[in-house]
Amino acid sequence: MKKFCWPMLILSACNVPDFQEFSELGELRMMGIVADKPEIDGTRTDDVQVVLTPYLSDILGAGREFKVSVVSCLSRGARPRCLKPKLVPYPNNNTFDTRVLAENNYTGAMDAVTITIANPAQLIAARAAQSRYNGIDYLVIFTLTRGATSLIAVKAISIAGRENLNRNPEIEKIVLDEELASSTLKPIAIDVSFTPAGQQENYTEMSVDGSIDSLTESYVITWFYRRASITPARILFGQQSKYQSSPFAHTVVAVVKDRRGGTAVKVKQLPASARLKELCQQLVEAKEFCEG
Amino acid sequence: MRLNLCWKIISLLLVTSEALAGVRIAGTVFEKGTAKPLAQVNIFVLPEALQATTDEAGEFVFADLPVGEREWIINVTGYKRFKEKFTYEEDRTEVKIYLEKKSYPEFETTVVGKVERRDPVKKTLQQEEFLRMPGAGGDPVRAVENLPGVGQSFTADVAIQGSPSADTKYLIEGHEIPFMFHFFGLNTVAVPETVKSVDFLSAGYGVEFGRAAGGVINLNLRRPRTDRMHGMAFVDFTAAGGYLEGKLGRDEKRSFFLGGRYSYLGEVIKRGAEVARKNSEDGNVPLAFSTAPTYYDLNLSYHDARHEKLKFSFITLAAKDKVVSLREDAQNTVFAGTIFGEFEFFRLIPKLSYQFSPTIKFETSVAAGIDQQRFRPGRQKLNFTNQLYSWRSEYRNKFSPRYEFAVGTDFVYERFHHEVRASEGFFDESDLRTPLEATKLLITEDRGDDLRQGYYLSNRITVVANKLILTPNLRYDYFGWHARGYLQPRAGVAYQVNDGAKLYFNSGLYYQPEFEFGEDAGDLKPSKSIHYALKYEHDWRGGSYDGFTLATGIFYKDLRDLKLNSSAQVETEDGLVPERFNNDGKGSVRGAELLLKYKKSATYLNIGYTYTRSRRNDGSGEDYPAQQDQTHNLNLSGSYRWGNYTLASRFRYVTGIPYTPVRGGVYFENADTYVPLAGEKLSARFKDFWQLDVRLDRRWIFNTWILSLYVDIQNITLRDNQIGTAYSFDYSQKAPTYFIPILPTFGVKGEF
Repeated sequence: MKKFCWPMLILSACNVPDFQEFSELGELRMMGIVADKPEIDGTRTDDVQVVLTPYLSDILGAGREFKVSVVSCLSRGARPRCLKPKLVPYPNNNTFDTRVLAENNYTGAMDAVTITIANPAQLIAARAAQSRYNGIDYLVIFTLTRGATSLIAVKAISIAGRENLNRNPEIEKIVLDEELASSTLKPIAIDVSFTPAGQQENYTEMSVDGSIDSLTESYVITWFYRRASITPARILFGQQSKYQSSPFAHTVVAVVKDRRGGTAVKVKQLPASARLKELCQQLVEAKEFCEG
Repeated sequence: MRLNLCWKIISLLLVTSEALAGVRIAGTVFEKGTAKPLAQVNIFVLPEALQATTDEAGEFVFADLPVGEREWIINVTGYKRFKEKFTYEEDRTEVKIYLEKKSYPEFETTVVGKVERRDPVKKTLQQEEFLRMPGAGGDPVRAVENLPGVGQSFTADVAIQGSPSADTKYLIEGHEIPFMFHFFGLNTVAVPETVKSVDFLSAGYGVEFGRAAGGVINLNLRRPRTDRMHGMAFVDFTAAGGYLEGKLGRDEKRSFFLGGRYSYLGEVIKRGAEVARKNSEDGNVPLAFSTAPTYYDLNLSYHDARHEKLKFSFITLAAKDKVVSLREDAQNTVFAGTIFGEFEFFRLIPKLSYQFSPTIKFETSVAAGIDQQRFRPGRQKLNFTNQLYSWRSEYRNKFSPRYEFAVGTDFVYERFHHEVRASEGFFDESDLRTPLEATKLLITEDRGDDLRQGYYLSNRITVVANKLILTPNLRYDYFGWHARGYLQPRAGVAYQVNDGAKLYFNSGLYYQPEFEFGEDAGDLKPSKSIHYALKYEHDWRGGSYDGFTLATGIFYKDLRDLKLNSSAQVETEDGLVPERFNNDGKGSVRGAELLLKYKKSATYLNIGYTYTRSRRNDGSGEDYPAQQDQTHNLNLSGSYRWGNYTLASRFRYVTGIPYTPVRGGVYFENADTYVPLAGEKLSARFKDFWQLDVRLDRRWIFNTWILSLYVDIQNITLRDNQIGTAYSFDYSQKAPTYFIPILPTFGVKGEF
C-alpha cells in the first residue's frame, strides 16, 4: 500500500522564512492570464480561436519595454510539459511596453494574443476517454525578457469533452468603503462582488470507471497590492479580507480563480487615506520641531 | 559479698531464661521494587550466627529465635548487602524483607556474549538497550538509528545503507504493518515495554524475509511475565499510557498483557500555536490546528504454555493517528483549505509453535487486520482501505550436528480499495516537488486483491571442524499484482577465525513490489537489488559480559529496475494515458561500516560509523547522488550508571544530504503558483548534520514499586540542522529550513 509522506508536507508548511509576500507588488509580476474560453469543446473538428489577456505589474520597473515570446503546445504527462511548442505571434512586433500602464502604476492588462487550436477533437483523439472528458491541457507559454530580467508564465486551456464547458468568473466590482478607508486608521472589510453569470458553476467529472460525478467549483480570491495591506491576501469565496489603507495613492488588484482555469481580474486605483496623510504630516512637523 | 553473688546468679538465670525462651519468626524475602520473592537466600542472625534459607516462595522460618535485639545480615550476589537490627519479643509470621538490587535493568533480559544467530547479517537491540538509549526517547525503532548502516532522518523512517526508506519493510512478529510510526515519526506504534527486541536486517539478509530491497525492521514482542501481576503507568510531554500483565490461573503457564498509549501532543502544539498567535504582530502563525492531531495504540496479548511442547499466543495490536483541520487558509500555497488525515490499522496475530523433539520445531502464525488511510488536504481525497491477511510458517530440523534446514512460507493476501482524487504531485518521487495544484488531477478508484507468495529453504552446513558454516539458501516470491514470480538465491559463508573472531560473507538477490494505481501493474515491474556484504566480528569479552566487541564490514548493492516518475504517454485499451511511472532507474550503493561496543559494569560505550556512496541514474545522463547518499555517518553514544542515576549521551555527525538546486520559477497561472525550474539533479548538499543528545534517568526503589523520572534533551547545543530549503513564492529567494532547535522531554514512570 502506498505510504504518504504527509508529515513532511506539513513540516514544510510550518517553517517559512520571512520572504517577500506573494501579494506584494513591485518587481515584474504576472497576476493572471484571462482566456476568453478557459475550456474548449474537445469534440469540435474546426479551428478554435482563444484570446488570452495577461495581467502584469512592474511598478519598480517604472515603464520599460519587454520582448515577448509566446509558444503553445498540447501538454503531455502528469505534469505541465511541452515537447514541440508552436510559436504564436505577439502584437507590436513581439514587444510590450509597460509605459502604456503608467496611469495604473504600471499594473494592468497587456495586449491580448490570439491562438488557434486546430481540430481539437483530432488533437486529443488518441487520449483515454476519461482524459478526453475531464480535459487535456493545451499550454500557452509567455516569456518576457529585458536584459537579465525575465518572466515565464504558463496558461493551460482545457480541451474537454464535458457538456457544460467552464466559463470565467466575472467580478462586478471591488467592494470597499473608500470614505471610511480614508478616515479610519483601522483595517476595514474589502470584498469582491460577482455578476450573476459569474457565480460558482456546477460541472461534471468522469471517474476511471466511466461514471460521471457532479461537482461545484470553488473560487479563490487573491489580493495584490502595493503600499497598502490586505490580510488574508488569499481567501476562499465567502471569506472576507481586511484592508489597511495607505498615506499614498496605491493599486489594488483582485484576481478570482475557479481553480479549473477560469480567471477574472480587476484593478482598482485607490487614493491616499486623508487621515493617514494628516498623521504623516504631523509626524514630519513634529520631527522638524524636535530637530530645531 | 554473698548478697552480690546472689544477685549475679539471679541475673544470670533471668538472662538465660530469656535466651532459652525463643520466638518463632517466619517471613518472606522479596526483591525491592519488583516484590519478586527470592529463593535460596541465606539469612544470618548475629551474634548467635543462626541461619535460615528461603524456599521457592521466598519464605523462611526461624523456629527458635532468641528474644531481644538481633542483627540480621543477608548477602546475595547482585543485591546490596542487607544489614539491619530487629527486636522480637513474641512470635511473628509475616515478616517482610526487601533486598535492593545493585542495578535495575528494565526487565530480566540477559545479553549473552555468544549467540549463534541464524542470520549473521541481523543486528538486534534488546529492550534494556533501546529503552535507555539517548536521543531515541525510549523508542525501539528510533534507537536503531544508533546502529551503523542507518541513515539520518528527521521523520524516524529507517533508510538502510543508502537505500530509500521506502525500501525498508516494517514487521511486527514477522507480519507486515502499514506504518511503524505515529505521526512525525514520533513513536513506534507498539508500547516500548512490550517489545522484547528489534531486529535490523541489512545488505545480504536471509531468506526468511523478502519483498524489501533495502532491509527489514522486525519487532519481537515480549512474552507476558507469569510470576505475578505487573503494571506500569507513565506520563510525559507527548503521551500517557501504561500496561498491566501477569499470570492467568494458578499455574504460571498462561499470561496476559494489556497496554496502550494516548498522545496529547496535538493539544501541546495547539496551545503553543495559540500562544504564538497572541504574541505575533499580525495574528497569523504559519501552522494552526483547529482540532489537535492525536494518536493512540493498544496491545493485548495472551500466552499459553500449558502444554510442554505446544505453545500458543494471541497478539492484538491496533494503532490510530488523526490530524484534522489546519485553519481555513487559502494563503498557504501548499494546500488550500483544511487537512484531514486519519491513519489506522489493527492486527490479530494468533501464533502456534510445536516442539516435536529437541531438534525439530514447527512454528506458524497468521495476521488478520484492516488498514485504513484517509487523507484529505484541501479539496483532494485519498482513501485507501486494505483487508490484509498474512501467514508465516516454518519447519526447522536440526538433522545432524553438521546440518540443519528450515522450510517456510511467507504469504500476504490483500483486498484493496483505493479511492483517489488528488494531484499527481502527491506521487512525485523526486526531491523537488511540483506544487500540487500545478499537476493534473488523478481520479481513480481501484478495487482488487493481491496475493504475495513467499517460499523459502534455508540450509546450514557446518564443515571443517566446526569452523566453516555454509548457508546456501533459496527464496521464491510471486507478486500477484505484478503477475510475476522470481527465484532469489541467497547464500552465506561464515568462518570462525579463532575463538573470538569470525568472518562472514553474504550475498543475495532481492525483489521488491512497486506500487501504482490500477487493478494491475501494467508494464511496471518490481525493483531488483543484488547485495554483497563482507563482515568481520571480534569479541574480546571471553564469554563474560564486560569488554569490547567489534563488528566491521563492507557492502555493495546493485540496484536495477528502479521506479521513476515518467512524462511519457503509453498506449492502453482506452487510448493514450500518461505513463506516470517506469522502471528506467538504476543505481548502486557501496559502503563500509563499523560498530565498536564497550561495556564494563556501569559504563557503556558505542561507536558506530558508516561510509556510504549511493548513486542513481535515471537514464538521461551521468550518475547522480541518491538522496540517501550520506557519505559519513558517525554515531557516538554512551552511558554511565551510578547508584540509581544513569546519564547517557549521543553525538551524531552526518554529511549533509543532497538536494536539487532551483534555477528559478515559472508562473503556472491556472494554479496561481510557481513551478520550480530544477537545476542539476541532487547536485547540492544541505549543511552537515550534527547533534548532541543527553538523557538523565533517576530511579527511586520502593519496596513494592519503582518510580522513574527522566529528562531527555535532543540537540542540546541548539545546532541548526537543515531539513530542507524554503523558497519565496517565485523561487527568487531561498533560505534553509531547520528542524526543531531543541527537543526536551520530561517523563515520569511508575511500575510494579
